[in-house]
Amino acid sequence: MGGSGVSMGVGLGRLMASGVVGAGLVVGAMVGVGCDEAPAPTSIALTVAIDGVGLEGLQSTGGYVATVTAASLCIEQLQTHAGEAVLASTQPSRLPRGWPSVGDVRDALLSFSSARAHPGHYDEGGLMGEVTGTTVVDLLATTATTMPVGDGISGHHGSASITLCTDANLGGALLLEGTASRDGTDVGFRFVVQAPEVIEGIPVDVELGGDGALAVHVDLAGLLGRVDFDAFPAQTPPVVPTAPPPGSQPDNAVGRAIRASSTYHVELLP
Amino acid sequence: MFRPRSLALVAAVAATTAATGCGAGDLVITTFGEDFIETAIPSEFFADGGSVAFSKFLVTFSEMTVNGADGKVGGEVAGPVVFDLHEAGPAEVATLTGLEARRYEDISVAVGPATDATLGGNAASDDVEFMKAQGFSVFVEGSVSQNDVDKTFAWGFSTNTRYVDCELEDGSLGVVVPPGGAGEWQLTIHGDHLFYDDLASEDAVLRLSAIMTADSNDDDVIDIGELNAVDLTSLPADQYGVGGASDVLSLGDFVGALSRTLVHHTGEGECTAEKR
Repeated sequence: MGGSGVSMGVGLGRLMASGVVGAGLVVGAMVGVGCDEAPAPTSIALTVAIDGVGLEGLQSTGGYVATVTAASLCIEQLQTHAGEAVLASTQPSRLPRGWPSVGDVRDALLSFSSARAHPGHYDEGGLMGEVTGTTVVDLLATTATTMPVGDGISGHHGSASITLCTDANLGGALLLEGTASRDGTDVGFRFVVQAPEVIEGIPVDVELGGDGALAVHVDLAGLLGRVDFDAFPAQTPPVVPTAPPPGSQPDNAVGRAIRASSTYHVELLP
Repeated sequence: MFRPRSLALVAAVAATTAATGCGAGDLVITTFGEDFIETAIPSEFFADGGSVAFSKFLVTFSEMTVNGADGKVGGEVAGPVVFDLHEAGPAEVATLTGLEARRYEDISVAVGPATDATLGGNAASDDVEFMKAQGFSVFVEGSVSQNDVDKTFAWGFSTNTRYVDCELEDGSLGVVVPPGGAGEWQLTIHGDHLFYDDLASEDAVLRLSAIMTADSNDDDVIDIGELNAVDLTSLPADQYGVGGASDVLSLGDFVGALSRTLVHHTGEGECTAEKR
């Protein structure tokens, strides 16, 4: 394929081969771009750094304050797409929390919400970027964990999807461990959650004119905020982390939270 | 089959476009509940079995606008007007006459709470007054059956939603008004949406079990209060996913969110639902 000076790097070519958007834009570049037309997309490098947030004063349903002593997430891929996210909420969560979650902050900043009016009709649009590489992230670390550098094309990145992975050391995709306390009562918790289906429709909404760096903040308050710690046995010290029974409310709460796109907040790093 | 109904709304319509060189035509706006609302949703469509039959499906439509992407004003039907999609349809909502023959890419409709100004479409007058008194945008009534257990439901929603960027299944935007003829814009209502088990996933399926067991006092009536009392964390993690809707915490919230997804563009065409 010839072109009017557009660089068809490996990344751009592969993203075109994946099928969807970008192709029309690149065709426009191949026949020549007029002065009044949008610039043709270019290949860019895309980096992703992941960390955990929402840890301070983490309070859950029932008024337990959770102290997280271990939190790790296995992620193998992040893709960005041209399409916008679905059903972003404008209402802050009604859960009592000692510290606003990133979801609450994001929701407060949104001036509207919209969705394709049909479940499952999130229109992801064309693939805009892809970062791949099995990465285990310590969500308690003070510095973010960076995934291997990926590829992308310039333009509007509307939404993202995340694929989690199974790590043998974690026993699954997510490990959360710690103590929840209320009125002098302590319970030890340990959640090991298996990787769900691809988590889609995470809002991104950034313009990338060149190489870009995205931050993914994993909301620990979102992961634990709806757990009913009354379901765990009270313990006298030393508190031992205990796993909830499969299908129990705590198990369902964390299992749902790991699947919710609102647990992951993506922003452009300066 | 198209069945003309009350022409009251024709008089209320503001068709502002004069015919130009392309000729002129009309646009008939209809609404249709299809078999799922008029007859039933049979068991083969539910992942966990069971069936649903509606006896009433009231929707308050308003702000039906028809414009070109270039800013050309087509017309508007202000409403609000209540239709019962359980009645045999399609039912005529309104007709815009004398529009310039062309494609109107930018069509939109709102489904919002009924007000004192709400008119009756094909809905019974008692139902219209009920919608006004309750301020409902959507009200559904019917029966659910599963494993030889029958229950009834009556759910009202006051959600306010505007459906925009409507495109047909083939991806074409809006509607076409043919010269010397009449185009049709059908507000197709998909009643099965109220029973989906995910707000975002492509793999959403229809389910009934959680709704059936929500009948906490076992009086065989499932009301909104009982749905609101079901915390989604009591349900399996791989069901009733909320995607990015972090304010959806109960089964009642969930069904309420689904009430914002009912309107389709002429069959299987889609719109973007703006939450208001």
